[in-house]
Amino acid sequence: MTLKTNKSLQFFILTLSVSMILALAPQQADARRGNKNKGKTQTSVNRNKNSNKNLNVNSNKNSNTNVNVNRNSSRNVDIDVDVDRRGRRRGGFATGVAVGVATAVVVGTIVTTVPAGCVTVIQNGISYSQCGNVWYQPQYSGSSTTYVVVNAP
Amino acid sequence: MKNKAVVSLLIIGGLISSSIIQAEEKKESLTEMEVAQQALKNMSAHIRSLGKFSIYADVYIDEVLENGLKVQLNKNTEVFADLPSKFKIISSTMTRSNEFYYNGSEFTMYTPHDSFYVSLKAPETVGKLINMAQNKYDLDIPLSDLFLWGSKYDTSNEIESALIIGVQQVNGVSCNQFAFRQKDVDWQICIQRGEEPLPLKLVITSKQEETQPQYIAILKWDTAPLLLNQSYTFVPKSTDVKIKFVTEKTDK
Repeated sequence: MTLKTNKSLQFFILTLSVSMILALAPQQADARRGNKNKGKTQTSVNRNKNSNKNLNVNSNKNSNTNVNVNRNSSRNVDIDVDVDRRGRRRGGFATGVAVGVATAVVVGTIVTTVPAGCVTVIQNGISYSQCGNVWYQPQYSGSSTTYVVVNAP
Repeated sequence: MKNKAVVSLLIIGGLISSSIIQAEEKKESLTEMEVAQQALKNMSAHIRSLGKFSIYADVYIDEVLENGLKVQLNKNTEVFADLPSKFKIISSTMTRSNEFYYNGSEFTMYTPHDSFYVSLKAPETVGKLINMAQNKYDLDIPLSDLFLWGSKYDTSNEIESALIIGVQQVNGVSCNQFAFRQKDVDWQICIQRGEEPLPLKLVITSKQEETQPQYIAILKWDTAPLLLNQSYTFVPKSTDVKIKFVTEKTDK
């Protein structure tokens, strides 16, 4: 009898775990997608010559080491763009979770999600996510939303 | 081999809507590549002749994970088009969606799951808009081929070879399947047989990627949609926040 109860309990726990994992799975897939180079799987056949994004192919083996250090502390648009370009060559964006626990988050780092517990702040018409003393600015990279670390506005 | 000849004849016969004798003559003179390209041309001309259309598409897209594992994800794409200069497109997965609005002067992409949107001044035709989105913002408008085939942005001249695969059925409708090879992609299309040569299925294989991921779209067409009260202009809610595209820098 005891054995039977244990078995049902085990089964219950297993079912619960599987449900929880499955519930999280779509987000994992989406998060991984954020780590991919854009345009890897082509979605159209009519493409203008100068939109050849296949230059990025085969670079996806790089893990999400988003070490796009930009020591320049002055914040302007050019910096963000430059960092993004390098980030894409390196094969993708880091996730916010990993970045959030780092002791220093470098300005210009690009993530696909911001850590939990961030606050949305709008200053001068620009939306930011403030996570402690780290400020993220949302932007579109193609069809995906990404966040770039900026200096406090 | 004999079957293949019969299938080719069927397709050629369907393509050339004149007498059987003429079809026979054509069969002798046309190569598979020519037949396939002619079919593509007919289809493109037919799509371009439609003023309005709406589409519901099941889309399957491969994603290659960091360890090289290829997984297939699902999307639904809905298109409401009033050409030459209006569309609304919604492309959704379980957890997120992208909405695209184009009214001939303004283009908006909206992501309701995070309440962000971007609005841009847009060129006057869909073709120009798609081109601008691809080149300047690294943005692929879903099912963009449907707007480009038969337009000046049609790149069918890059087709290197083509094959007639045969007659298939997609969602119970028979269609002629063709395969095309280009430098970067191999692709297949199944074109509805009969008076309305519409693409029912599109498969694109990205060859430059080691694992050759595929994009598959199964299309359901409405060529006489009402589109009553269909808005092509995005109106943000008070909680929506406008953001920007990362300006695309082309690789040097």
